[in-house]
Amino acid sequence: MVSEGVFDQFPTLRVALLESGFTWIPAHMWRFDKEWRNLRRLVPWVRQAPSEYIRQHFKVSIQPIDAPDDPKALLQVIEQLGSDEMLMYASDYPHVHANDPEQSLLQHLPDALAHKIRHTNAQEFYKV
Amino acid sequence: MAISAPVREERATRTRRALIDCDFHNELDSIKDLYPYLSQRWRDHIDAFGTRGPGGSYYPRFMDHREDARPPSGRRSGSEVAHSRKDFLDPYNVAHATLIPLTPAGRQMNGDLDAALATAVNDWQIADWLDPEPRLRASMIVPVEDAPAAVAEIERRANDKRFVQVQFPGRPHEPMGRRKYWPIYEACAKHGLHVMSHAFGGNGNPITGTGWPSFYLEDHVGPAQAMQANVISMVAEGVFDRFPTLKLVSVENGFGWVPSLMWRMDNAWTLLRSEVPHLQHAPSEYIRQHLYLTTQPVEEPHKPHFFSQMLEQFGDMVSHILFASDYPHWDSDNPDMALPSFLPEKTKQMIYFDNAKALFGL
Repeated sequence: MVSEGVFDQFPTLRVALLESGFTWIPAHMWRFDKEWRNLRRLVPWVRQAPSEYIRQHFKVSIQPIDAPDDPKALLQVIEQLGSDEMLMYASDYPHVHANDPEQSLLQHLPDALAHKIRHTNAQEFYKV
Repeated sequence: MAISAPVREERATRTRRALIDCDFHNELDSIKDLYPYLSQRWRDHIDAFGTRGPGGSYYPRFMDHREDARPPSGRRSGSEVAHSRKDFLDPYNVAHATLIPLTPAGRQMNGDLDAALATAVNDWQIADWLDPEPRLRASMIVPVEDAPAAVAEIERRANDKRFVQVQFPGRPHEPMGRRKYWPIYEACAKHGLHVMSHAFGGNGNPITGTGWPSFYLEDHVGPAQAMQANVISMVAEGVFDRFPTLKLVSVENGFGWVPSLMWRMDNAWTLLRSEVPHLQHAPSEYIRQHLYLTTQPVEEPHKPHFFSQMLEQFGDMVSHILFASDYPHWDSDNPDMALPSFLPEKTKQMIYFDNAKALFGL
């Protein structure tokens, strides 16, 4: 979507990624930005770094969390996302998952960020 | 990291750290380089019909090498050992390099041609690269989609210990854990050969899990996804239970994706392990024991301390990260700039040298 210029064509379009996890996103953004720096001549409509498009146009649900054993590593991933606005709470009810979002993630975060993930990010995204 | 900086004159090789380079390309100037190693039957075939792989891009513009690495003869960069020696091995104090030939061999639809090309490439590697340059080691080319023929080639070369690993293209016909490839793994385990997967090469499958992308940029972001599919497959199918000494070397697929993959696999396994009762350990355990990864193209996180966080998440597995240049491709990493300067000396020594020395028994 980024490479093809969907977000230049449709600047208000936003995408929710559900149930794909989120811990893979930082490494993917670094790779994508690096390759864009190398090859941006090929895709001149990609006017800013891919990671910027990702932060502006995508929101991601937090279940499955795919949590490591050490909560510290998960907090590092949150920091590496580079945005407090990307994550949205999800239960995926009635499906079963390995982790509980409160236990594995939200209780370890500063209140303001936890509130965004529980409420504000989705409120803003779905305009409710 | 793709910058080619001049090697400073005053930096004598004896003061420069010794390197082991785990992604060094020996290139064919043209398919005719293999003619001395092919029978007349196949020379005539290629003259008449050429080679024929599955559809889709394998190595698109990728084949445009750095012009500064082209030998004076005008032949392709990386096609002459004498020039590669002068241009890279000597100035950068490369103690050893593993050759990774990217040729039509291994992905021909004509199975007999594929077997003939594979053995020709291995003969070419011996004559043109290994014999004249003792610092080199080689990746063995086999017709991966034809296990009996691949095993025959492995048996043919097994006594030449300069072949250190068997090469797979990044996207074989099936995910790498599938049973059709197990005879190859068995032969590798028997002869102490590693299994190596090099990015980009395709035997017909797209680089993404949702089909063929439009742009080379997408091909270049994609190898992590393809390699993850192979790693997941090999773990889930029980390859490492069946062949506990086997090691998988991932080349040019990046490495930042490994920690999150381990977490995801472990979380899925806690719920679904009854489907795969042959797995004796958590998936992350297999990854920690069996997967090795080369550095190029090195991760460039948005903030320097993210690189340290990434290595912290690797934990002990930092001993599985291997320096690679990808010489002479356009996006090769200059050894002087491949790793962040702020890494501890011990970490750099491991990645630039010690890890590969241990893995390849050098």
